Amino acid sequence: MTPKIVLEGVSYCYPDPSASPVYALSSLTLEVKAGDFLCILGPNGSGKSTLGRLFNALLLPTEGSVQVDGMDTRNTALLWTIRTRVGMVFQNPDNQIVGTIVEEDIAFGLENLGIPPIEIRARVDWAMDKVGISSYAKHPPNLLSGGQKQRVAIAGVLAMKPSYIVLDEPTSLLDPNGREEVLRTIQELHGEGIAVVLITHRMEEAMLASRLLVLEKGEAAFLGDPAQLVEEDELRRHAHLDLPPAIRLAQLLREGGIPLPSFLSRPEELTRTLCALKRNT
Amino acid sequence: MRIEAEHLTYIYGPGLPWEKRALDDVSLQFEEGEFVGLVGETGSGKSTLVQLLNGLLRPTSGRVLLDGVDLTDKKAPIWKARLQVGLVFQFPESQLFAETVAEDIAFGPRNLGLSRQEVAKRVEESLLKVGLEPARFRQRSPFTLSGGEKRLVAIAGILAMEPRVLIVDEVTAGLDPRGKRDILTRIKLLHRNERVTVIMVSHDMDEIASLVERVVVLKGGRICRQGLTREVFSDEESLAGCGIQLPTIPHILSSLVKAGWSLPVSIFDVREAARLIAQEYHDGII
Amino acid sequence: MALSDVVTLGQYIPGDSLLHRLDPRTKFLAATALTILLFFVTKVTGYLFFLAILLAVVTASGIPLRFLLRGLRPILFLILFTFIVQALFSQEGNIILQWGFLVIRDEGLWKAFFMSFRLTLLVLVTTLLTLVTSPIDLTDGLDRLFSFLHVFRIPVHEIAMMMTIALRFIPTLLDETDTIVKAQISRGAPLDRGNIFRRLRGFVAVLIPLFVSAFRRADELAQAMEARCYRGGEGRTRMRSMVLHWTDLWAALGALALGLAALAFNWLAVP
Repeated sequence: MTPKIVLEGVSYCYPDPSASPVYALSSLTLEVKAGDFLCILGPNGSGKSTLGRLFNALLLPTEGSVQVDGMDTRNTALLWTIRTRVGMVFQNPDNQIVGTIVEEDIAFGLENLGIPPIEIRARVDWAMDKVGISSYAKHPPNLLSGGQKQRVAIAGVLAMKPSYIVLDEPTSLLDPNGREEVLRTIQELHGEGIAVVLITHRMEEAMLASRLLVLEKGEAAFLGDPAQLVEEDELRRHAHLDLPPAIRLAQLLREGGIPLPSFLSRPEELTRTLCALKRNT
Repeated sequence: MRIEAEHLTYIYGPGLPWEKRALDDVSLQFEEGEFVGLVGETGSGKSTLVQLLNGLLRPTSGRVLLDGVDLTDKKAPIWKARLQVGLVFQFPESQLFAETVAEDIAFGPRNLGLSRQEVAKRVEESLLKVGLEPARFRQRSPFTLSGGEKRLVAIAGILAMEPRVLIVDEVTAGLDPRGKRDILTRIKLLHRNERVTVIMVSHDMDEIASLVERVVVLKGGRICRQGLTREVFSDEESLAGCGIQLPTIPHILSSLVKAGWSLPVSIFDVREAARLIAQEYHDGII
Repeated sequence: MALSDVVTLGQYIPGDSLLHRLDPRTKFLAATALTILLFFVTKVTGYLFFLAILLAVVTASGIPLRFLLRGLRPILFLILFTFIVQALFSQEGNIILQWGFLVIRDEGLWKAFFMSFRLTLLVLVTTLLTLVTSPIDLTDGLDRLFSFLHVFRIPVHEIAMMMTIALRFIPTLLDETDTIVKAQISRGAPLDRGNIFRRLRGFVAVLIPLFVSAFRRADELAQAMEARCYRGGEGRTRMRSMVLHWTDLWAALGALALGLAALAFNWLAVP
């Protein structure tokens, strides 16, 4: 059985005794395989955070099922295994840090799993090194920047050796430097083989993924790769997803007769490609 | 209203081991009705400057003048004067506290000692100014609103005091693209219709470039660069020295210029940029 | 630069003295034992001996004396109050001074002095404990010390976890309070001017947002803790080990010896 997360016909309904049921998610079917980089894109209220919480059983589907490596999230006996397999990083950097100093927070998850102290120490040091925060080991969290705090959160999840990491809008409360730090770390982790599910409303981040799911009012409006989404003008306008300026520029230049390749994920690529093309003419 | 900062210096924790000079001899003028951007890396002194301008903090040395009146004068009734400079903090929705939207917006006017009719009038007007239909929102609990709506209510709360200057700090922080667009449109309209002076603090250079006439760049508590938007956003190196980057399109243009292309840098419209790049590209072939 | 940089947590002063390096459980038990012993000391010389011990220990810890004395500031009023009440309302002994219905007797004066002195010593012992032990070490130590109570269904670990989280969030909440206060002052809230009643009204505008935010934090933090498999104290291990060393044993015996010496002094001494 290939390791993967499978969502089959998943719907989620918030319990509301007074009114008629409000579906936050409707009939979603989706797979996340090992090593994937999936981005879940959508405006606020589209259901993306709800979807994120289904991956690690923080929420259970009202209809349909969620299977993580063959384990059904409804199975309470497997809850802790599932949550070790699927790590989660949240939007607010402060509200996920429990420890009074960085290394204590990273150890938190491992302590919960009852892992022997010597191994905890080894894994904490390893995780801090991987994420590049070893120099902050003894710092209290309130002395860290937003980007650093998010990296601490990522290290804390990484220490638990997950196969999948779900990140729920990890950069939306950060300044540009913090955003870059965190995205770089995420890409490095993906490079090491961990499957990444990045939930965001920023198109620039979506361009980094290999697959995109666009949610609109709880329904899947698009599932494909970023290059395809760039072409879907009507859909994007509907979901208020403007093209990042660099990509829009590339589009216009293509219309103006410059033979740029169909998809460029970063501004640097645009400049490089333009220069290369000019040299060759 | 004209705001002037004269040789402002602010030191946190003077005499203590963690003493920090957050602002060092900063002098600035903001004319009535201007739309100015205030940028700089984290720790450059932006929030300190902004809190000095509205009288929350008293400078260690230097003066702040509102239409020539010294805000820092010990004898001046500072609290009323400072209310003419409205400051919208980052994530302002976290300061909502009243039972209804109307009550929360009324907080400011009531503190000003206005009559009940005047307060009610200001609440209605402020809701309209931020684009929230009074009939729909007046009686709702602020805690049941969406993030973007809460933020608009918080801004309305400041507008209800009818400030002559509006300072907004990272006003689009944490909002999705639509929310960002809505709020920026509102602010643009406010600037145009009410003729308030707007000072916008932001980390988003694209946002700043699209809205402001003038940019002030702070670094290490000092003014690093200031001038008209297209002047400031024309030289990548000097901006890097100030700790900030160019907006996206100018950045691309600047990279091409470095590779030998002949292009202007401070172009902010993507179509214009495309036209110029295509022209330069095809000229090279011919 | 914010409120949390200015307000220090508790009275802990970092250092590397023997006292700092002792296990927090040892320090806590020693402080408790000395506190109890204090109630058996009834003569001035006994108190003086106690005071001498305290001063010696403080010197050994490398912490300037003024920090120890600073710990008295919050309760200075209480000490004074105790003294005055005892002096004025005691019925024992002969009258020294009289002024209308206010009477001061000699026995009463002695008693006032004793009680104030004892109160002072009590506070100094606890101050000393918090000066050489960081809040998190103390919480951790108490967690381990009292963990046997879970047999009686007392949720020791959970209480310790709550305290740890509270300690972790104090600087964060202080910063948030600072921001909210500034935001409301910017709306003209009478927080820094006017009489007490006006100021209280203004505080509603600070307390409510703070509470709302605190509850939201708690909710988000709980989700994050669950996502990392938190399920209470059952089966939990700790990265940090807390091991008793020989120094702890010697320190404990030393504390015991000093305490007994103080008692002996008490019985043998005259006044």
